[in-house]
Amino acid sequence: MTQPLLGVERLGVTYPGRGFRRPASAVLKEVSIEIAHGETLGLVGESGSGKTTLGRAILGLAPVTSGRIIFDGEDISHAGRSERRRLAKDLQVVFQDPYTSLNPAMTIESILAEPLQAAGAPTQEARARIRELLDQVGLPADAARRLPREFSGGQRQRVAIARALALSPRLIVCDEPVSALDLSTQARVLDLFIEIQERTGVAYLFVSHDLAVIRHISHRVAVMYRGEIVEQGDAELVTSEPEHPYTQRLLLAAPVAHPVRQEKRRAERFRLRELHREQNLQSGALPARV
Amino acid sequence: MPMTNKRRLSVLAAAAVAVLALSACTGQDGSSGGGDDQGPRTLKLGVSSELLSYDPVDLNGGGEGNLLWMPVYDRLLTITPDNGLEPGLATEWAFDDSFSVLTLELRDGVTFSDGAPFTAETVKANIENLKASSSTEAGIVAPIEEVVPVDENTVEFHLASYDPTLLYQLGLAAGVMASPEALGTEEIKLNPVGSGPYTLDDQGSVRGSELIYVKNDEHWNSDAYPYETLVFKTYQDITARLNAAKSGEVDGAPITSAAAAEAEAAGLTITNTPAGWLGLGLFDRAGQIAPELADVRVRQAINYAFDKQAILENVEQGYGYATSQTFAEGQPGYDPELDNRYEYDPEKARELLAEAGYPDGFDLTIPDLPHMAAYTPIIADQLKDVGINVTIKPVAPTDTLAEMFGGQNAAFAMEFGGTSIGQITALSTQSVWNIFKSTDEELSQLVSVAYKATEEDEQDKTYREVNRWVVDNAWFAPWYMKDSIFVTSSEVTVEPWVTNVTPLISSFAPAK
Amino acid sequence: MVAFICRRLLSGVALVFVVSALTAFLIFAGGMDIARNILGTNATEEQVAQRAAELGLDRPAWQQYADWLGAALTGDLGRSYFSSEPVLQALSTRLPVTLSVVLTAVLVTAVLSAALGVLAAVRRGWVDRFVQLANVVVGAIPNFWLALVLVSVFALNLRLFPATGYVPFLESPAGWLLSITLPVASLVIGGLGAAMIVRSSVIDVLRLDFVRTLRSRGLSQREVLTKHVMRNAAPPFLTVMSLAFIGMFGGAVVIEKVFAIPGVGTLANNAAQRGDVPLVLGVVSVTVAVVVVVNLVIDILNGWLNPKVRVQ
Repeated sequence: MTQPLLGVERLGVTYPGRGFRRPASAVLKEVSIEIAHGETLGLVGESGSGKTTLGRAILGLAPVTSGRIIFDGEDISHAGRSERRRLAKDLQVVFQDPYTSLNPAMTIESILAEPLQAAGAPTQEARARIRELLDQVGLPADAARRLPREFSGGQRQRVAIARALALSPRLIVCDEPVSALDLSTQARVLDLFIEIQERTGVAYLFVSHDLAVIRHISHRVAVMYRGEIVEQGDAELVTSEPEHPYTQRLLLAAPVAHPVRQEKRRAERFRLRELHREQNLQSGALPARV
Repeated sequence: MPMTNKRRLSVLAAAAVAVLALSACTGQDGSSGGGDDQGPRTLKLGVSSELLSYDPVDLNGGGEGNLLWMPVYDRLLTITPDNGLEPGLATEWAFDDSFSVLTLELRDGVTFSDGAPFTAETVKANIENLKASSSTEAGIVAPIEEVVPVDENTVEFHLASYDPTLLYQLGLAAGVMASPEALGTEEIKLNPVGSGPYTLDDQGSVRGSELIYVKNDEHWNSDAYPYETLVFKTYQDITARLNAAKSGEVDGAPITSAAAAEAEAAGLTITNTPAGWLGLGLFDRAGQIAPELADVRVRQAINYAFDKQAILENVEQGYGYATSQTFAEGQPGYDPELDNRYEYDPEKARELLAEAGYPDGFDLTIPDLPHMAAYTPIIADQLKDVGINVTIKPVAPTDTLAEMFGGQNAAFAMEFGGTSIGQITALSTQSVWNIFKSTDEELSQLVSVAYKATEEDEQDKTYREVNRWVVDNAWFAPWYMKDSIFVTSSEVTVEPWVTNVTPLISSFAPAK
Repeated sequence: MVAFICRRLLSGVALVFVVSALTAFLIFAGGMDIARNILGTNATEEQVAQRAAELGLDRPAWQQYADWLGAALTGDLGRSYFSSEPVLQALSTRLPVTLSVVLTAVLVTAVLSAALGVLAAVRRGWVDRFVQLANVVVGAIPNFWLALVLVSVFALNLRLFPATGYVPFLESPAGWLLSITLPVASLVIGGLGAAMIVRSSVIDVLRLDFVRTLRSRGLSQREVLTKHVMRNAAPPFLTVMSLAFIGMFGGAVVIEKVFAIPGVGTLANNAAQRGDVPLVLGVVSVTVAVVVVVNLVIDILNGWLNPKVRVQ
């Protein structure tokens, strides 16, 4: 078996309680995932499930309290700033909100040049690379001189992707990168992700709450529920015949453009929720918040 | 580009650091509280208001202003701290027997700062300039019908009427002599052209803030002025003035009675002198708008109604002395017996009111003059106690003068400074202070005798007659003689100028 | 950009007209007897009327204002009714004094409140709570009271600074610095509320995703702050600074009084009380002009630091 690009082993993230004697809250519990080279792992779950935290933990933005994160054979669970700088070449991020993910005070050129300069690229080379990147994400070359506010959400997300691609990383953590976009833009940006992957062989950890999006882009899918991975496997399998009741419910929650089938699904979803609640009660967990 | 951002921010940061560093290092060696940088022979005084103009027609007699213009202008006569007269630009002066001609012998060899000589013609030019102006002081020289230069050093004032205050006024603003060339120009408002013991350092001075005077060694009485340089700093705020004195930034300053305790605690020397009397003026003595006041018993009752000592203690911190007369202690005409003439006695007041036919009191309206606002409630309170029901009438600051001198009020709170002869002339029907033009034959007789008194003993005796009459007839209801307070550092000694707010500039000397 | 500056300057000129007209109206409507003020209590009615006629005070208010305006447009602001000092001369000695105090205070306020605000936003915890508490306490202290306390401690007791007065910079730079330290401190302490604006805008920017992106790449706190956060947090801060400048200009009236500083505040105050119309109008117009220019400079600075608000 070849070594995976990213391996997360029994990862735990716990935020200290805010204020005096507030209990600490465990956001991730014993989470384990793997991502191979050039692979997309879709991470799905409802908001608050901890999927975003997992992405942030990999990027060093959340405190790792137990377990390990192995990137390219190296433990980066507690990587310091200089290690992160080095890692930045291989590990990048695209965030959800295209309106806050770009520095509004900088031109697109400055935004794209920033990681290149930090990596020590000469100015001439950086210029050329910026043109190339803009071309790759389907933006006109004159975009470089403009400011983020002059672009639409989808275009901004393309800039964010270009920035993530600047250093030719091997893994990009995509934290709900299309959730803030309208449906047609979503489709085009997703296709861009896929096209880039086919061309560059980059791997994605693709975080989303939308099963349809996940199904479209992922090779494999991991389902997260209350800080734990409840189901993991082949994308086709997990999204069509889920084993875990939570995944089943998620699947049913995905919108379907057919009134009769939707009615049927709604009834099914209700039944599953009841079942799920019973299971929870039996296992001593709190009632499900739906 | 990020690199340029960084550079901009570091420039800002560097500037900030420079400012902080500079303030830190100068903060350490800045231990001197100020004082000696202009030499030991510099006198620095704090004053509360600025001198707006050096034009002789804009100068006036009272208050602090004297301190600011007397260094640069000689007057015909010189006033002493006890209000006596000494030679000034005139070395001798005398009235003729009929008091219609005043002859002045003038000092020889005096020149103005522009080089012009001082002569009899100069006196003529100055007096005529003043007479023709719309100045306050024009009224003082109005009785001088004609100024006749007899020769280079002799001048005669031909008088239309005799005014006993004329000589004293010739020691003040009305007697200021400026170079005839400069009279009536705009320039003289900013730069005095006089023959005084000092000249204005126009370059060093900042108008409205700091005036610097340099000694004029050519002055005929140069020896009487021990300081090479005078610096006057304006502090409108009493706290700032007091702080300047406490920190040694000035050697002396006029302060208020409320600040006196703090000044004393800080080791400053306090010089106080009676500046003027304070109380209720009872002007409608013929009862034109307040008929009750026509009865002398009512006016006396009002005099009895005030607890003068208590007001003095509470409002002026005891700086002054309670009295029933308008003449200040130590001045001609002052009668110690009159201080207690109307000692606080509300019972007596009620009896007098009953005798006058007002057993249940009466109504009286008092204007709430802004500059006397502290006293209005006291008046209402004390008079109410003896049965007089006071209505307080609000007064807008801009209406103050109209309310005071327009004849709309029978009585109001007043503060009145000045010399004994000033007290007497205020009784005249010519005076703005005789608001209802009150007259009395007996008083007129006493006043006309007092006017002609030129010898000290004679003045004291005749003024005393006037004083006693005014107190007996209760034309005013004085409470106390209020002190002016001047603080000085240990570097300086000073003699007060009786009846004035500030000492004379010639009264300051370095402490031994 | 040039068009923007021109537009702003033009509206500034209009503002000067409006404010000076309003001021003139207020003086004349106040019914103050200016000629009487000049001559004093003892002058007769005839003398007062004569002086009023000399100064043209007997004419309708609008005519007096129109005359002033006409002369002002040719650069002649007239002379003081009282001292006869040319108004321009009075302003040229007074305005630099006030400006040197106020601008220094604004600069120090900017540096300190930026530092405190960033510190509170970044460190949070007790530093943040301290800054917030201090802000409330300081905000509740009146300027003049603070000035009095500073004088009594640092000038009268410790004798570190002069209690009153002003030394021109050209006369002695060190003396100048000493003389303005306490006045500036009293203005600055009152203006430190700006730190709270910096704090909240830095916190807002720190929460944005682009900052996370930078962090994920291992950029240091300092780099993130200086290169990326400050510029975005600057606009509200600069706006507060321009308001602080206006506020301090107004507060200077009180501070100048406490420290006996010969600035434009005391000049205006005295002139207004006396009814010295040319001086009041001159001071008001020039002050408004200064405020307009400073605001313009701050706006330009804002655009330079942050293209987000740059005008098209």
